[in-house]
Amino acid sequence: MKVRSIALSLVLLTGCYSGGGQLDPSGGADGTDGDGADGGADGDADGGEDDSAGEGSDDDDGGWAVGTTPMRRLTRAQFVQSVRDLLAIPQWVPQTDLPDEGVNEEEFQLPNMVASTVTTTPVGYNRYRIAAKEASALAFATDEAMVARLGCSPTGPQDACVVDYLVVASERAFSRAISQDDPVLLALQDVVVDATERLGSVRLGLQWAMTSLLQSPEFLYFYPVDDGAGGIDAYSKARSLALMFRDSIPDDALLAHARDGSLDDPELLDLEIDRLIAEMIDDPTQRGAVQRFFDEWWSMTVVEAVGKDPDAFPEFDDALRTAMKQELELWLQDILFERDLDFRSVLVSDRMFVNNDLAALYGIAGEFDDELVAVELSADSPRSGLLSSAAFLSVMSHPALTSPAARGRFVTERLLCLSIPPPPASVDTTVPPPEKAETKRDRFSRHTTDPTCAACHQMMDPMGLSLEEFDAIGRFRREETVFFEGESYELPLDTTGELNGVAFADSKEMAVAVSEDPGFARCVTHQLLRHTLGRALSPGEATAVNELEQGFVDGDMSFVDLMREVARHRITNSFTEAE
Amino acid sequence: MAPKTRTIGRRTMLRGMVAGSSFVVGLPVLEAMLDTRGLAYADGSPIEPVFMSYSWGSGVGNLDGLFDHWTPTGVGEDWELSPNLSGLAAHKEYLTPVSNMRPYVSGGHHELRATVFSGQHRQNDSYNGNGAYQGLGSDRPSIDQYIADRVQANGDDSPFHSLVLCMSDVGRHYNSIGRGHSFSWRENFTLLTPETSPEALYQQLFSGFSPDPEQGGLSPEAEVELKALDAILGSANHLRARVGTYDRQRLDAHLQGLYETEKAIEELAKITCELPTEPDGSYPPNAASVEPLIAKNIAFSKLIAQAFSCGLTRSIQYMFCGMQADPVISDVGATDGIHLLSHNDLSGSGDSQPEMIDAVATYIMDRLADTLTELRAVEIGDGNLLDHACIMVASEMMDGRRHSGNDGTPMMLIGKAGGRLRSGYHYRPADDAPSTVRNTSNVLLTAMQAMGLDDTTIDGGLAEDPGGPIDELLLEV
Repeated sequence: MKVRSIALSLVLLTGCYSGGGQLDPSGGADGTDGDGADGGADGDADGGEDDSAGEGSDDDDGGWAVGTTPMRRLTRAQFVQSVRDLLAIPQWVPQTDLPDEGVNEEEFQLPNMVASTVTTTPVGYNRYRIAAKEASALAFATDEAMVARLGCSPTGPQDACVVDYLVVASERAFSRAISQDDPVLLALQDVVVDATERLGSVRLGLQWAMTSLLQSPEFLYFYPVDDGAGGIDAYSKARSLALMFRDSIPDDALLAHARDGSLDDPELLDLEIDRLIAEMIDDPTQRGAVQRFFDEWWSMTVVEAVGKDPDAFPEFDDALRTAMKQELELWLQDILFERDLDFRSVLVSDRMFVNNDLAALYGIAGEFDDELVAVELSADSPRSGLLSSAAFLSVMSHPALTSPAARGRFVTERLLCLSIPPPPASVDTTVPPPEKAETKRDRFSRHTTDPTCAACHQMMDPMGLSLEEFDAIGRFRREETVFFEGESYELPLDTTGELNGVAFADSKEMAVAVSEDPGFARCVTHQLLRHTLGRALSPGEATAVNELEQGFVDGDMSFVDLMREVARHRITNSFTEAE
Repeated sequence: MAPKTRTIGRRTMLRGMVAGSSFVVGLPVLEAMLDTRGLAYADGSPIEPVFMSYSWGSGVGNLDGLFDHWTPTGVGEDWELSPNLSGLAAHKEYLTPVSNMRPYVSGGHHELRATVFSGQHRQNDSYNGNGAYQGLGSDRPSIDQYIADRVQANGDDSPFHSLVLCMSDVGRHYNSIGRGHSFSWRENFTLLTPETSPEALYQQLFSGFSPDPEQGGLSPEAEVELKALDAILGSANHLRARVGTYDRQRLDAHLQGLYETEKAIEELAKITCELPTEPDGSYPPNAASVEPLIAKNIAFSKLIAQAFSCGLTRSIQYMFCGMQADPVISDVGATDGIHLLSHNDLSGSGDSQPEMIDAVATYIMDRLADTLTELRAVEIGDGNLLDHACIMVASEMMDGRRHSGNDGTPMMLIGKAGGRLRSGYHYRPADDAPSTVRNTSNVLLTAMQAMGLDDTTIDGGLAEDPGGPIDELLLEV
């Protein structure tokens, strides 16, 4: 199947954008925000929270200039990974909560996409401080630990052994050249001298100097340096690549190429990108950054915080919840790295990963134990990837009941990047109570007969209702259990629907329709680009999205290839000064 | 830092300092230093009152007049606790329910939260300087932040500007992550994420700093940390010279945190105070979103009482749970979360929902009663912390099932604020009283006055302006 590229125009239909795959390139920063306060996983509308959709412009809404390079704060994951790599404490997990990284559910902007907008409050600052002290104390816990990090044994606080360490640590942490008389370096040296004197050891001096460094804005925020020709300099390229592929600071090779400026050579830049990708493919421990992108995009970061009604689902315990999350990770890495499949496989997959608990939940026969193993899906299996995974179905449900609204909205907003505006303030958004024993589809249909509601609901309900085949923890079912006047009824489910003119009979066919919708390829391109840049896109950047998307669909639809192209694209390596 | 033998109120202690060295004195606190009423020091300087706002999301079960289990019966000094408030009976002399008030704003959780807790709400969505959606909120800080700002501007030297805490951990990750999970914010609606772990709060208050009372000054570690914090400014300056206007503001916000930390280190070194017992264990929700909230609340409440009595802060925001959050209160038999219970179309359990919401509301007030018990156990002067506290209790709406401001707002003031605030009193304007009288902002203004501020109005840009502080509830000291 060849996917067409779609022009970036907005079509307004009774308050809802429609048409296959049309996308607002600014991701809503121009006021085309989606639903109100409830966010993606709830779907009920608690009042008209937002102003009307589809109006305003960037300039009206705060003067955000087109394509400006903003200062990005590290996400929580980036902070932790950067600290681990900087101090060589790979197992470190902060005991304190880190500052809220923010998320913009309304515009499906995920933590890294709002990194240019979050502000550190005093409460948040104190959390950085506590985490910095924790990490430094761990890294410099003993003299042996200190010597291991320095590579030499300092005789005093002003020893070259100490100064050299501080130079490289701050160069790596800040991604810029540090001269011997740099004020930052001199201040850190002062800390070492002062602390050594007061506390009696160089080790403690270094510990405090690194505590200081970890709270420094140049470490906690990334603001690329202009190369004077519309691009970012070699050090900034190094950090940009490290953040994209590792959630971290530059490794030795990137730092060396930054130092001698060789990353400015496009051929060497390509080689480094290829190296980072190859390491990711060869070494599962290097895949964390990519996994987190998907976890955030698909709301899978919250799997282990999901709660279920113990009466309805006695089997839903910590072990099952953990297995759901692990399954998704193994399955995704299998598609992306082990087999490097066409990206549509995330929706149309022939393989799942199960242990004994998940096999029981999925109704898969065979002998299993605690270990998750790959199983090939039979042709008559109702399951085929993300949308039929237990993790997704559990997150996009209420404690006892399914949420067709949340599931449908996920497909429309997260997978197709279409904005669904909030219901008008005048509309009663309560789904009517059952008049008889009737399915959610029946109740929804009475709810959406109003034409002003129908246009939007048509964009999400069919997908959500087809997923009614799976209950609130992802078990397959053919009937919906309905309570009415104290009695329970098993009513047959109607899972048919249509997406942009493509009819489907059940959720498996629905997943195929979504995967082949032009909006899907465009959406993944758009999300990855925003994630990489750490900001929303401006309308002027539609050309870049078009180019990247075209390359993606003209090729094998390999996600790894898409990452490569995003990393080397001029938009990723450009610089526009802010006002 | 070794545990000290006895607790002593910080300001009392400061007056016991001689030439920079502090000493520890046993309770009861220096009664000789107090005036005859125990509300001020012998030299006439008052014991400063402390403020807390206590909140929870989605209101109480009071739907469509099915029942009203929130509003007390009777008015003035002759009143009876409602069923929801029954758990607070032991503290009735400190309670001042304020009924029949309205925020005079249309909208849902977010508009109502902004108005009830700050007196102002933003008319439109807005975007910050880097293009991020900020949602519907308020341009004024929330009441806890406003009061903290004002008392600090008036020369208060508490180490912590304010504390923002939350009992329930559910709702922090799910749904609109963070957006509904706070009742505290700065200007321009920068929400302050609450601390949800008593252990982390303990670390923040008592472990992160190392005053040296033996020397009456900063410990060597504290001196070094101040040096380490100063060293950060070089990096900030380097970045500040390059970034745009909006990002400079973000950097300044970062540095504000640094300055407050430095101040906290310096001020804490002047304090001698008993270390409370470290909270034992954590309190995570289980797979059914059930948390050990009774124990967790008591752990938090002990730390709150200690933070106030040691003079660590003058203002705390403490919330039971956020808006649209779904902690499951299994102690009252609920199997659905609080927000879900308020949506009859979503719950699958068949719980009798108005009754279940009602039971949850009573449960929330029972937890508040436990908090008051802890505050009351701390002696200050010849009274206790409640004699010197002003606590504003509110949810953003009366009933989550309607989520409308027109149904009124559950609100209450607690404490005597050093004699400034009337208590043991039910204030309830008549249904036909003008909007100036029934305005929820009047309660904010009353709290501000009780805290010694001189505010008489809030320019909230609301449909109806507040009439001002409620004279009936304010007493001359």
